[in-house]
Amino acid sequence: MDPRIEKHSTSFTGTNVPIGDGKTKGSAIQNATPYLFIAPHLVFFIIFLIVPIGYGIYISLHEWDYLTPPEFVGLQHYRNIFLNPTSIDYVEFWNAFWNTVQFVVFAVPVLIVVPLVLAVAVDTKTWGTHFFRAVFYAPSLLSVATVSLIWLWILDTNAGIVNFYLNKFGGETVPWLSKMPWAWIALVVMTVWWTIGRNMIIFLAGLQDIPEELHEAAKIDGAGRLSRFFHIILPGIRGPMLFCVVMTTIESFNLFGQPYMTTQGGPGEETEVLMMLIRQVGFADFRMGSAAAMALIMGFSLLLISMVQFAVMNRGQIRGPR
Amino acid sequence: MWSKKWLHAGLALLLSISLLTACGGETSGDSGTVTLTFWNGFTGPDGKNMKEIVDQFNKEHKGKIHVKMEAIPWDNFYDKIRTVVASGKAPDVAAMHLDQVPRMANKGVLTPLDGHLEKVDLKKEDFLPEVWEAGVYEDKRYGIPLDVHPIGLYYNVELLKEAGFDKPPTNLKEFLEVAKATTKDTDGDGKIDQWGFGMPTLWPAQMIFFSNLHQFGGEAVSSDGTKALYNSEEGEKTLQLMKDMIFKYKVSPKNIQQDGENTLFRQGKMAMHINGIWMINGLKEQKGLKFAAAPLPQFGDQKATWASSHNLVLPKQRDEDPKKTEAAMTFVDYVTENSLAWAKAGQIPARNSVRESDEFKALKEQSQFAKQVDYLKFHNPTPTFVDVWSPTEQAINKVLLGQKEPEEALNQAAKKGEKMAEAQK
Repeated sequence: MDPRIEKHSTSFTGTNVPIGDGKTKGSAIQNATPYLFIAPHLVFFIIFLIVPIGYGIYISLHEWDYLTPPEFVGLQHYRNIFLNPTSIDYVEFWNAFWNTVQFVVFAVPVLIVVPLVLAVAVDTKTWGTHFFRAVFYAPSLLSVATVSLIWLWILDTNAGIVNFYLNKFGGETVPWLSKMPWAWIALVVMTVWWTIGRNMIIFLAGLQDIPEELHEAAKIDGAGRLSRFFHIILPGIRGPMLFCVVMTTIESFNLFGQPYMTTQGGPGEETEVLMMLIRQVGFADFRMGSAAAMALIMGFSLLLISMVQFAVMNRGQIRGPR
Repeated sequence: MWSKKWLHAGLALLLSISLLTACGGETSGDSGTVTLTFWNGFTGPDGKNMKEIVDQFNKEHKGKIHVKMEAIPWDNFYDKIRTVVASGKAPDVAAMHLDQVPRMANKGVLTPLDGHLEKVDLKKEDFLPEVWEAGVYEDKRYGIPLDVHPIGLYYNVELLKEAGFDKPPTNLKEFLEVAKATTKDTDGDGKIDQWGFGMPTLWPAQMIFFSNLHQFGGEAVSSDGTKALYNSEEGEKTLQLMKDMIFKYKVSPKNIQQDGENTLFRQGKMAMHINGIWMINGLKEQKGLKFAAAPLPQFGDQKATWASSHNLVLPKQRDEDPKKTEAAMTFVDYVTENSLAWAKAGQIPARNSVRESDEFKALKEQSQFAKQVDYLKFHNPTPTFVDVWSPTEQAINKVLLGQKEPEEALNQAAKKGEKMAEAQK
């Protein structure tokens, strides 16, 4: 290593900068460099995130139907949603909100546990694992419309293959998409089948980052499969786990296509979720102000939940390994 | 060294900017040909039939008018049409459903057509009166009806014959007779596996409810579009009858999901199916299915059948170009006059001259549906009809799933619908 650099880097604040270039000009450019690197991203971030959020807040304070000029109404939409139980927005929003929360509570644990188990199962060097990885990942490549149509046919109450075999072996006809709790079960099952691959691949990458020596050492110490899973694998994939939990929660909150295509929010409005409602209010009823307020409340709830998840799951890391 | 980094950063910036500006900018041909854009939601097989008409029009008007057709799924179409009008990039002609016309007209999305009709061959006398009247909002005409599409009865010819019927039912008594005779257990396992009828619990249950409500003398929504009238004695009677098909007469399976009854009919496991005229071609493609069409059986005291219509409209332009408007009207006239190709897609032409032609009468199923033209019932042409009416979907759904009683469900729907209309102002 060049001794000059080493000397330099210890004498200053630790920045690893070669000397000899024009100093005054160099430092100005140096300060700008990191920003220039993120500039392309920043431009898109501002255009597609910051500006729309600001615009969304603006719209949520107005009554607007696209065509006539927005009319300022202050916090009225928020007041309706939070405080006015007789308003249509209150009734609809909280119905959809709790429906969505139900789905998140049902779906997220399954969407974490099943891919994790699958990832551990295909993380071996035996014959055929590549094949199974591909098979489990394949549904992720389909569009939501395709997935919904496939399951609509499979689960058809009177003509579907599932009920056909249920009947054949003496079971009762199950109204998969038209009664509770079956509708939620069906929605969770089709979502798991569809999105299992993404989390599995991420877990798999995490598993392969765990040094083989740890497993060997544990084996020598007499650790069984289960204790290795809890004491080596789980702590070893904390990063991917956090990512998967946060992302899956966000995606589950954004549930739209599956109920939109298969249950249409039914029975009644019991599977109408937030995204369906917001689309309906904004683009079919053209009440953009209410829709924007709902979207912002939903976004804010997601932010809160993600922050809690980060706090809870990062706690162990500060304590350090046991 | 630094300059290279600068260069890269600059290039990245340039790239992102050029990406952003890449969209936009359209060149318009100017060799005397007027170019029109025509938006619609005909993304299914019906799009092909419409394209045929457009191509023929372009051929016949070469050098004068050229129409570019763009089909967008209906949901997206209605999302988009307002935004493009607001931003001044509206298409020149569009097709939309009848009940959307007053809604859009009320918001200023459409151009009134009065004064333009005389220039082309569009006359009131050539159209079905009910559907022609429905294109008017606040004394101004906004839509030219292209077609009418009612619901009706489809029946499986073989299953009916097997049970000893050679004609479709026309009233409730006959309907129940046929339905009971064709509901049976064919393989002897103690479970019914062939059904006389399939009562949908979602779409198109609303249209069946609307038809029967009027048959029993009821009304859907007040003529100003603000009050629900379906939560009436007639409404309850209608919904109860629909429910009875499943739970009392047991001629329809329980818990039918979206399109479930259509699947059963296609599989030959269901004798009678109520659905729209637009299903004709889809059912024809079903191998091994021998079906025929008939008018909706009369369940109530009078005849009435739900129908809607595709209307051709001229979206509002920021700068109106008289030349384009004239060309657009020529196109509208041409399409409605040459709607036979359109009728083949599973529609009834709105123009009498086309509907009464021998070519149309030769279309077997379509002409059966067309027998209902004298008593078709359309949604009231008011901007808020849809708001008041749409909650009936959940009400009907809950009742037909056996989870609520008609009276309670309809009253709740009415309350919600009126609130939704109010929110529209």
